Amino acid sequence: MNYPQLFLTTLPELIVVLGMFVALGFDYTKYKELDPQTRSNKVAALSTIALMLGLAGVVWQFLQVTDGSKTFSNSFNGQVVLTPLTLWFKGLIFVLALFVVQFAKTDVPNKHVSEYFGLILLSTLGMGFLITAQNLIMLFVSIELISLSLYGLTAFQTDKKFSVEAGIKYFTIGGVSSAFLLFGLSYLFGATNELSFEGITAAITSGAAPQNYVLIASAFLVVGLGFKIAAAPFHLWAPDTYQCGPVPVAAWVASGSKIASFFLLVQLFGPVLETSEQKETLIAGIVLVSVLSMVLGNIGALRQSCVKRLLAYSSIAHAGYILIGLVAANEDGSISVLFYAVIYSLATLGAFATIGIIDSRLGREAQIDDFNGTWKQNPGLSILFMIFILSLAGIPPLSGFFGKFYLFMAAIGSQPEIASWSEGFYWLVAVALLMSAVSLFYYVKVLKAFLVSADTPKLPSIQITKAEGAGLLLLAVLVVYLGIYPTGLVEFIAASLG
Amino acid sequence: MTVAFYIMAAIAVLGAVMAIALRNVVHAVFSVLLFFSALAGLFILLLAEFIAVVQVLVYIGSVGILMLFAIMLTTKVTGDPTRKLLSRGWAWGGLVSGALLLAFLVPLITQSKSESNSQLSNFNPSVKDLGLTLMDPYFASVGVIALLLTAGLIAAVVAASSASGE
Amino acid sequence: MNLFNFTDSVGWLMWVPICPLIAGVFLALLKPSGRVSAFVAIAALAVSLILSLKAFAMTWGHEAQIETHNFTWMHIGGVDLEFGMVLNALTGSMLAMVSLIGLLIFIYSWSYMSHDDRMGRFFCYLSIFMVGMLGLVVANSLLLFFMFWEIVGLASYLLIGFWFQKPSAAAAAKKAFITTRIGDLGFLIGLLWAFKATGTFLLFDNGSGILETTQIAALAASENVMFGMNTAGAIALFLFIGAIGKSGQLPLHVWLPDAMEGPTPVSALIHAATMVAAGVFLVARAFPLFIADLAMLEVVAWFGAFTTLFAALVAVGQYDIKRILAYSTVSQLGLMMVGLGAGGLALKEGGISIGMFHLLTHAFFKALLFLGAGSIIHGCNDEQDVRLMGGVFSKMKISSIAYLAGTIALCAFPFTSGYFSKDQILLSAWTASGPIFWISAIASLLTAFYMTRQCCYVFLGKYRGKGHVHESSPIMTVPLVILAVFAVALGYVSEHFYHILDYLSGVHVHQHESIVVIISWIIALGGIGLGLLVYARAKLGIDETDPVKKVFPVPYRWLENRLYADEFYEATAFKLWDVLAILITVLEAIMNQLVDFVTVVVRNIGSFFLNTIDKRVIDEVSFDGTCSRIYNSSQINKLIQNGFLQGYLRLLTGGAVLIGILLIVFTR
Repeated sequence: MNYPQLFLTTLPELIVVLGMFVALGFDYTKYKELDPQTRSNKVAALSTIALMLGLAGVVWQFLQVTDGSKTFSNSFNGQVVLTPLTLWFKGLIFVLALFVVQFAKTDVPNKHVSEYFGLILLSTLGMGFLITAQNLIMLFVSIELISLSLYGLTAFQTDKKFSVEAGIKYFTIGGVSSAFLLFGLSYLFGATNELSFEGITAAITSGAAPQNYVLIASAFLVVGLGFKIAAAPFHLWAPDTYQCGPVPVAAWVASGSKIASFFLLVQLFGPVLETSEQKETLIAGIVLVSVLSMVLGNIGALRQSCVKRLLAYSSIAHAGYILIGLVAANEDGSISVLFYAVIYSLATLGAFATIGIIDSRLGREAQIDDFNGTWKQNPGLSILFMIFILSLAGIPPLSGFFGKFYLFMAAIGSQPEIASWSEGFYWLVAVALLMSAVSLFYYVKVLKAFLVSADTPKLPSIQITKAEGAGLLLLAVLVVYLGIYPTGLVEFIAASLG
Repeated sequence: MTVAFYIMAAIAVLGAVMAIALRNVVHAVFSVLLFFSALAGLFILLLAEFIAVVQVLVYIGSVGILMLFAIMLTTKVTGDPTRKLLSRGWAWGGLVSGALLLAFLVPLITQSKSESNSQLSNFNPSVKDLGLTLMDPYFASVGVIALLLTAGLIAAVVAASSASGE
Repeated sequence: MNLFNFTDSVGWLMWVPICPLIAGVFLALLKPSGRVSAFVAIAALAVSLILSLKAFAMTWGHEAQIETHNFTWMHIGGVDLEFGMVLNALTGSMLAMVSLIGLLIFIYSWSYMSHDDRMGRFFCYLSIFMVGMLGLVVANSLLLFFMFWEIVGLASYLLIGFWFQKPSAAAAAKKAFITTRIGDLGFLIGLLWAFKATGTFLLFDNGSGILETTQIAALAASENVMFGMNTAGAIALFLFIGAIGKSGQLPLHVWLPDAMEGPTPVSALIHAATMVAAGVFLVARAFPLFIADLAMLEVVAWFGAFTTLFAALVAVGQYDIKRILAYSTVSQLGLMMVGLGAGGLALKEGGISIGMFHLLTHAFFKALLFLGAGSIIHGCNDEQDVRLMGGVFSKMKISSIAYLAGTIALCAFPFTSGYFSKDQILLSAWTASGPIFWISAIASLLTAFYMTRQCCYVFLGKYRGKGHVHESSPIMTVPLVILAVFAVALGYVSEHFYHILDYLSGVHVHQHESIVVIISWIIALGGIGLGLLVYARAKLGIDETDPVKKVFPVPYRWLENRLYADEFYEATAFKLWDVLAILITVLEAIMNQLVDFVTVVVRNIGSFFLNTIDKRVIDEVSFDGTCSRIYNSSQINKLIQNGFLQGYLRLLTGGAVLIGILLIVFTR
C-alpha cells in the first residue's frame, strides 16, 4: 500500500473529514454558549469552507487526471478509481452538498447543530466514495455510510414523533434492502471470485462465471438498489421520509443520494446488460420495476395536498423514467441515465429547497393551498420554483425535457431493427409518455396555486437569506442552461464513458 | 457430519425464529445468542475454525452481552413480556418469505451443480493475514468503515441526548 | 503454568499481587461493612508482605542472580505473547518496601477513614492499587508492566477523586489521569518499539529478553536512529517519557501537588512512597537500555536536576502542609533521577543502586511525613494551612517527634537514612558532571531550608487555629513510630550500607570523595541553620508576611504561584484552540462578502426578468373535468401506503419475489 498516494487520492475526503471534526470541536467548546441560530451559521460556514476546499481538491484531481500528468495512482484494487467521469460526479456531489448546507443552516431542527451538519458531510463523503468505488467491498461500505447518515438525519427531529417514525421506517426498510444487496453482492463474488468491477465484468463477458449465479445476484441487486433510488415496489419509505424528515434532508436524499445510486447502477449493470447472455431476463426485471414506479409514483402524486409528499411521489416516478435508460442497455442508455440523474437532482433540490424555505417561514408543512397568490408577494421565489417544477414536468426548453427526450430515444434506438410500434420498447416509452401527461396534472396544480388564484394570499412576504437566494438562483440557472445547451455535458459523459 | 450439520442448522433456524417470535426481549436476545452459537458450530463444520472463534468471541461474547446491557439500561424495557411484536399479517409475511426462498434459492440449488470454488477453499486466514489484508489492499475501505462508525456515533449521540430529555 | 508451585520456580510470585486482588474483588462484590473491609484488605496485604519478605530473603546474598518464570499468555497473529515474573534484587527490595509501607498505611487508614461511610470502597480502591503496584514490580514483560502501570494509574485516579463531592478533588483526579496519560503514551510507543525491534516483550528470558546482553548489544548496534541515539537509547527515551509522567518530573509535574486533594493515607501511599516511585522503578528496571546510550543517561540526569531544583524552589513558597510535602516529593523524585542518570554515568550498572537506595529510604521517611502530616491535620481539626498551626509540638508529642524524625531524614541530617542515600547521589553527580552536582546541592540546601521553615510554622509558637489540638489515636501513631524508626535507623545499618548498594544492582559500588561529604554536611546543617535563623524567632501567622517575602517580595510571589507552570499550560496549549477560532471567523467573514457579491448580481438580473415577462402568461388552466378519473385512481395507492412498516416490508419482499418469478419465466 502506497500511503502517500492514498493520501493524495483521498485528499478531498480527508479535508472534509477534518472540517467536520473542527466543526464538531468548535461546536462543543467555543460555540457552546451561543444561541442555536448563531451556532448554526458558524458551523454551516465551517462546513461550507470544508466542502469548498474539498471541491478544490476534486478539481485539482480532475485537472491532473484530464491532462494525464497525474501525480497519484488511482485504483487501490478499484476502491477509489479516479477518472474524469467519476471526479466530475464527485465534484457535482460536493456542489450539491454546498447547496444543501446553505439551505439547512437557517432552520436546524434542534440544538444538535454540528451533528446535523456532520451527518450531511459524512453522507456527502459516502456518495463521493460510492461514485469512485469499483470494488464490491468499497461499494457496500460506502452505501452503508450514506444510508446510516441519512437515517440519522431523517430521524433528527427527535422531539417530533413523525420524524422519528419516518427515520425508523427508513432504517428498517433500508436494513432489509441492505440484506438483499449484500446477498446479491456475495453471489456476485461467489460467481466471479472477483471483487473489482473490472474483474467481474471480465468474468461475466468471458463466460467464466455461472450465469445462474450472476442472474440471481443481479436480481437481488435490483432489489437492494431499487430501495436506494426509491423505485416501486421498494419505494414505500420515500413518501414518509420526504414528508416527515427535515426538508433539506429530503432534498439531499432526493438529489445527492439519487445521483450516486444511479451512477452505481450504470457502473454495475452497464457492462452486465451489454454483454450478458441472458440480458433479456434482467431487462424484463428492470422494465417491471420501471413501469411500476412510473404508474405508482404518478398516480400517487395526484391526490396529495402536501407539497413535499407530492414531490416524493414524483421522485418515485422519475426513478421509473430513468430506469428506461438502463433498459436500453447500451452506451446511449448509460449516457442518458447519467444526464437525467444530474438534471433531475438539480431541479428536485431546488424545488425541495423552496418548499423548505416556505415551510420554515410558515412554521408548518406547506399545503398546495398555502401557495395561493404567492406570485404577488414573492415574484422572485415564484419564478425560481416555476423553473424547477416545469423542468421536473419536462417542459421545453428546460433541461428536464431534454433529459426525458434522451432517455426515450435511447430506449427506442437500442433496437434499430424494430420498425413497428407494437414491438420493442415502444410500448414502454408510450407508458412513460402517458404517465408524463398525468404528471403534468399535479405539477400544474401546484403552479396554478402559485400563479393565479390570488384572492387571499396566505403567505406573508418571504424574506430569504442571501445564501438561500444565491443557491436557488444558481440552481435555476443550471437547470435552464442545461436545457438550452445540453450538448456540453452529454458529450463529456459520452467521451468519458467511451 | 451431515447429521451434525442438520442438527446445527435446525438449532440456528429455531433460534432465529424464536428471536422474532418471543415476547420477552431478554429471552429474544438469548435466542439470538443461540442462533450465533449454532452458526459458530456450522463454521466449525466448514473447517473455518478461525471464523468460528471470531463468531464466538465477537458475536456471542461482545455483541450479545452488549445487547443485554442495552436492554437492561433501557429504563422501560426489563425482562417483562412486552407488547406483542407480531402483527396480524404474520402469515402473509411468512408466505412472502417462503415464496422468496422458492423463487430464488430452490431453482438455483436444483439447477446448478455445486460449482465449488477451488481458489477459496485454500484460503484459511490467520489473524495476521487478515490484518494485513485489511490494512494493506483494503485500507481505503477500512477508512470508510471508520467514517461509517463516526456517523453511527453521531446519530446515536443525537438520539440518546434527546431521549434523555436534556 | 502451575499456580501452586512454591518450590522450584518463582511462579508463586504472582500470588503477591493476587492476594490484594482477591481482597479487592471480595470487597467490590460483597460490599461488607467498613470494619470487615479493612480487616480483609489488611489480612490480604499481610500475606503479600510475608511472600514479599520471602522474595527479599531469597535475593539477599544472591544479588546477581535473576530468576524468571515465563508463560505464554496468548498466541495471536503468529506471535507468542509471553508474560512472566522476575525475581532479582530489584524485585525483592521493592516488593518488601511497597508491601511493608502499604501495610502500615492500610492500618493507619483504618483509623483515619473510620468516620467515612464509604470506607469499604476506599479499601477496595487501595487493594486495587496494591495489585497494580506489586504487579508491576514482579512483571517480567514490558506489556504486563504497562498493564499494571495502567491499573496503578486508574486506582490513583479513583483514590485522588475519592471525595468526588469536592469539585477540586474531582478536577485534581482528572488532571492527574490526563497528565500521566500523556506520559503513558510515550511508554506505549517505547514498548511497541521494543517489541518491534526485539520480537519479545519479556525483559529476561534466558538470554533473549530485552534487557539481556545479546538484545542490548543488537539494539545498541544501530547508530543514530533518532536525535543521534541508538535504538536502545530511543526506546529508553520513550520509556523515560512514561516515567516523567508517573514520577512527576518537569514538565509533567503539575498533577502531583493537586493530587493532594485525596485522603492523606492516599497521599502517603501513592504520592510519596509507591506510585510516583514507579517511574523511577521503570528507569531502574530498564536500566540496561539506558546505559546502552550514554546520551540517554545525561537526559535523565538533567531532567532530574531541573526538576529537583524547580520543585525545591516552589516548596519554599507554599503554605499548605501537604503541598509543601508534595513539592518536596517532586524534588526528591528528581533527585532519584539524578541518582540514576549520574550514577549510570559514573558507575554504569551501579547507577541502579544510587537511585534505588534513595527511592527506598525516601519511601519510608516521606510516608512518615505524610502520615505525620495527616495526624497533625487531624489533630488541628482538618486545618492544612501551616500559618494557622503552631505550637503543635507540646500538644501532639508522639506525632511531632515522628514528624521531626522524618524531617531530619529528608534534610539529610548526618547519619540518618536520607543522609546516606543523598550522599551517594551527590557523590555520583560529582563524578559525572559539575553543573548537575551543584544544582542538586543547591536543591538539597533548599530542602533542608523549607523543611525547617515548615517545622517552625507548625511546631513553634502558639496555636493559631480554631478549636484545640489533640493527639491522634494509637492506630494512627503506631505506624508513625515504626516508620520513624525506619527513617532514622535505616541509616544505622551503615555497616551493611555498602552491602545494600551492592545488593541492589548486583555490582560492586564504592565511591568516596571527602569534599563531597563535607559539602553534604554543610548543606544539611546549613539549610537547617538558615531555616532556624530566619523562622525560629519570626512572627508567623496568616496575617504576617513570610520572612523571606519581606526580603525578596517579587521572586517569592513567583514561588507562591508555583512558578506559573499551570498558567504556562493555560497560555500555550489552551490558546492554540482560540487562535484557530479567530482564523475561522476571518474565513467566515470572507465567505459572507462573496455571498453578498453574488446576491447583488442576482437581484439585478431578477428585477430584469420581472419587468419584461408578462405577469399573465399563464391563464386559468383547468384539467379538473377531464382528469377526475385518473385522479380517483390514486386511491389504490392509499391501500399500499397504509403506514404499517410490516406491510411495507412484505411488499418489498413481494417485489423481490416478482422479479424472481420473472427470472424463472424468462430464463430458458
